[in-house]
Amino acid sequence: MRRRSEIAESVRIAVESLRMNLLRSILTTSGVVVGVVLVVVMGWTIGGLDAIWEQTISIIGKDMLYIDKWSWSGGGNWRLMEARKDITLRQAQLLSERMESAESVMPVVRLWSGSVVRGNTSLRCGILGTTTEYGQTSSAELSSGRFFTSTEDYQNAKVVILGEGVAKSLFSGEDPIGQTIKIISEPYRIIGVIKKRGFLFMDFVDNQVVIPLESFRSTVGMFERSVSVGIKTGNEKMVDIVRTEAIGHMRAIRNVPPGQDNDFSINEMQAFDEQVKNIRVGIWVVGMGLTILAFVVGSIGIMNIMYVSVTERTKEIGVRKAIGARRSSILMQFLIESAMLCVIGALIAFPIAQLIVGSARFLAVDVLDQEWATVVSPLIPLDLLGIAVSVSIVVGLAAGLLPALKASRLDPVEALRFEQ
Amino acid sequence: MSRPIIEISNLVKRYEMGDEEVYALRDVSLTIGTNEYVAIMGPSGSGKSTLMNMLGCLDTPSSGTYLFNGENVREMDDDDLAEIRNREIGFVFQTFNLLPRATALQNVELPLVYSGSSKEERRRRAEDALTRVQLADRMTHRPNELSGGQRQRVAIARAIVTAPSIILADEPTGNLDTKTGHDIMALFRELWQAGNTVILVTHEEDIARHAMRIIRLRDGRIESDTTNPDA
Repeated sequence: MRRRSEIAESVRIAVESLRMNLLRSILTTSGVVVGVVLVVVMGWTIGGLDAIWEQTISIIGKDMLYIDKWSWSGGGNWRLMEARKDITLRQAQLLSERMESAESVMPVVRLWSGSVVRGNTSLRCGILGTTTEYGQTSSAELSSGRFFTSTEDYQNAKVVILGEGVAKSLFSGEDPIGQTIKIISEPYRIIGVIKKRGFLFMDFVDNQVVIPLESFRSTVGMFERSVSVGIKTGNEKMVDIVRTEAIGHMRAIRNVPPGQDNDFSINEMQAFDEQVKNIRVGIWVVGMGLTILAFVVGSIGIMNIMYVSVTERTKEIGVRKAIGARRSSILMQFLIESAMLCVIGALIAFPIAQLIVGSARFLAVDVLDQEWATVVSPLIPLDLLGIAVSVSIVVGLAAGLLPALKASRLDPVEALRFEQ
Repeated sequence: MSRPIIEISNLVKRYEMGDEEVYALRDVSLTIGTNEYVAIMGPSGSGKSTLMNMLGCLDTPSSGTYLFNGENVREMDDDDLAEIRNREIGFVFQTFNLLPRATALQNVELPLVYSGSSKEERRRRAEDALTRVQLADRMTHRPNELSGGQRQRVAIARAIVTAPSIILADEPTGNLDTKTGHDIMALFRELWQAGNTVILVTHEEDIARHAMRIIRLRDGRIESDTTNPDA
């Protein structure tokens, strides 16, 4: 009961004192404002990064492994990889025959830049040759039409599936299904269009066309082309088992002596997971560093102003003690005031953070027309607000502790005698 | 004699000033009973402020005993002292010492905040107290909207709101003109007549003359302790 009336009184005093010194209070909280803005914007950025990454991962699929001459992540020794022998179509076929744990295995060959022509419009884009199994992977989800069949592949049928970017460039709105384009001077009939998948730095996946492997062989040719072997594990949990099996077969197929390193790379989205994790940690470390700095500076400012407040109100403290305020009452009064200062800081920070977050997204989506940014939330997440408020209360209590202790320990006789 | 509230014997207050020991009070013994009206007088440096701080439980003696309603003040810790000040003692200061941003009503409610009364009870008792000092029509005014005399009345209302055992007034008319000072002294007399125990600390003979008993201090000792013939 006593506590409750004292808390109410403390809050009333704090509000009054903050209102009397409004400008001073607001200036004092600037460190906390910066801290809270940083926390919120950082949290939002990491959240956005995760959302973008989720989207990116779905381009290739978490259940896919690729065996390549090159490592995607750019890790490893470039010269050593350069010296590796190409992976041949024959090796890919052997692997396909031997793999037991995988759902499907498909060879993929690429021409990074080939010409595709419709009427007078020509376009340079990637040309990808593969087998019908590729149609089952998340890289080949169709928005219209169908994927080619194994028979079409076998028969060297000149059919093509367009990436979304290619369809847009050549047909802009028209339905491309059934139409014909020329790939390196050979006419191909369009049977399907792949959904838009491109994302951020993965734009190239939309700017390619997919044709049957046999057609690739006849139109583009296989000379000096290292094959990439796609392995669909069918299940994320199977990735480890499938990887181990594939490495074993591949070493046998390529005659890698025991004790020697693999002369091929296993590429998977997990490799990027590591990089994204690093970026995440990077943002977190830098953000946390700045945040802590801001809060430290902010709490010093608050401590300072609380000392000023205690000194200004020495006489008032004396009066309160004379009429029966306990040490704890005075302590609480100043702690509440200091915590409130910080909460005000947090409240000022939210609209600022929202403005920053909102403008960043607006800039990316509406001005720069970056479609990938649409998956990032335009609003500050609510849990971040909760965290920010809690953190600022803690900072306020910590910063106010010494001044409040000083106030609570004032000798009432001395305090009453104090004149400004 | 009436039941004693304050029983002081051989009270000493010593301060360390560098290497020197300064005696503010040396061997003071004194008893004050209920419904007495006492003035403590003395020139500056006589120890009357120190004695007032002791009586008001704002400070504790270096040696000697101080029994307040039979309880030994010297053995109390800060919180006990705060509680006894809250419950048993009503302070009236020379400079009023009201909270400038609080209304008269809020100022008078303050001791009840620290004693934990309910909001309704606080309001009711504060209104009663303000009515007793004839400020029923000024309850929502802030100190800067009140005259000096009115401010001191608010302070007196704050002092009596907890129905304390003693009202302790330190130069209560020191900042008031003579006419207003007389009004305030009349109010103290009224409170005394209503059964309160009033202790005035003053250096003005005119003011001390209102009390029934005058205790004179000099150099930290009681010089005289007499019944006021004028009263």
